Amino acid sequence: MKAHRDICVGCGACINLCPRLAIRFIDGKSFIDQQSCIECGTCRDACGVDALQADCRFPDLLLLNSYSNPFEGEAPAGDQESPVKDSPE
Amino acid sequence: MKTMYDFVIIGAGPAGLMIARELAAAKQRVLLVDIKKDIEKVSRSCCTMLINEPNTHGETVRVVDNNLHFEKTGLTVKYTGRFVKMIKSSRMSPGGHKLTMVNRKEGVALPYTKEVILKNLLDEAVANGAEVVTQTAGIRAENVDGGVRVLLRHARSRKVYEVRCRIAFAADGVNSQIVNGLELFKTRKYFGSFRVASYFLDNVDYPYWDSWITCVGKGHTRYDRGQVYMVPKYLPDAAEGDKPILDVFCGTPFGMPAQKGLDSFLREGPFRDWFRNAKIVHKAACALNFYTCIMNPVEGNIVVVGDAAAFIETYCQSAMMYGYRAARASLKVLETGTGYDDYTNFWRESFEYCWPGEIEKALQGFGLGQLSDEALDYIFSLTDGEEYEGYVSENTAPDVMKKAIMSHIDQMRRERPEIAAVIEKHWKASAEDIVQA
Repeated sequence: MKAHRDICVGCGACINLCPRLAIRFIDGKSFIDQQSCIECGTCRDACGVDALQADCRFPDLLLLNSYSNPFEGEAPAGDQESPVKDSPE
Repeated sequence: MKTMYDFVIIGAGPAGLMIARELAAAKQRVLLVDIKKDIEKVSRSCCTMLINEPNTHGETVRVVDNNLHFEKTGLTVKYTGRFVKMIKSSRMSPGGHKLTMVNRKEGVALPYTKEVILKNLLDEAVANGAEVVTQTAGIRAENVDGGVRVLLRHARSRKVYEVRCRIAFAADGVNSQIVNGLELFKTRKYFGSFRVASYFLDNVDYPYWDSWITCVGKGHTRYDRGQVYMVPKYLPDAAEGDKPILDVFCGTPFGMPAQKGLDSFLREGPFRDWFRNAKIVHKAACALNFYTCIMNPVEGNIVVVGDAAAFIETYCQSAMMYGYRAARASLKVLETGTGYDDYTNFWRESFEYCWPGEIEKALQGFGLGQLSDEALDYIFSLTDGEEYEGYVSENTAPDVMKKAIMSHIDQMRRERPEIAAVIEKHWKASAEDIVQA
């Protein structure tokens, strides 16, 4: 999704709705972090002034290949060091 | 920003600012955070009217020396802006017929400028020594040993901070993020989601500067659903002699275009002539999730205040009053170990939506818009020219409307029995029926 900052009135309705915490609030207007956004459209449904519009970064249809497993051959989850670490703070 | 405070307040609206002002005045270490950069700037749609009806939310608020005076609480809030005296409140059908409530002496409500209220409260809180951090949202509060752990997120960088305090206040409004993370959130029942867009219009050729107007019916916009409201109010920088502007706002269910509805009302609605030369001076919007009230708005040492605990809204004035009561109660808790009951009992007894049947009543007033335009034109043609005593209030206006309409029910039964049947059924509808209609 993209936030059109010239349309956004800065009501903040979208910010806490984002399931990916992708929306920053910069100088009183929404700004969507493109690396975090998953184009789910939750923010668009909340926007009263239609400032949030789909950016169409993803193809309309994702073809799922259920026959191949890209993780085949990797060690089972229990043997790996946990990828989740506590923050240094 | 330090890491330990006596009190952390999330949200610097009328409730949060009032708490900060009171607690800072009591020489406590107070942190107030808000996601906005300019706390006094209002970008969320808000009617901002002084509801001057006696006993609104258990309190009577009057204007004394241009300030807001809360009679029972004994609280005065400094106001340096201007009031509009609205003496009429009308429901208007697409054909221009009206049902009008009047209070010539005191007004049906007094629109004021929220920015002035917020700025005065903020100045007082800061002067009293409260620490105010802007561009920071509260994302979670949890009770831990000896107090509350609060997670804050910077709005620009999204960096998460942790602060600790003895008591935390969730004053972050109707879509409270803090409340979402509490156990008490599970006690709430969901009704629906609405979004709102509003324009402040200057240069409007408008005949009702003394009225609150609710446009009821589907024919006001081309989108069939939603309601349009109009309220005159002054801009924050209005000088003596300036005319008020018109705040026009349109509320629709989620997924429906609020702003398109508003544009449609202004450009092609039945009253488009009023707005031919209008100029937009300010835009605002908001999203609202409707949940039932939190009956017990305290969890451990986390206190939920204002809209965050309410069904829809508490009005600015009552947000300040509940904030004041919550601040007093929590000071007592710090001193004596108990005191939350003062606040929670007052909340349950005074806030109308906590009482059984009140939500249904308010929604019935709102749900009238689901009738056909032709039926509404007919019903309001019966009440046209009549005046009923009343106020602008979600809690009492539906009753006045019901009585006004039902006083014509015999004539309706004679002339239009099908409409009479629909109306009689309407007053029996449950809240779910109305939201789903």
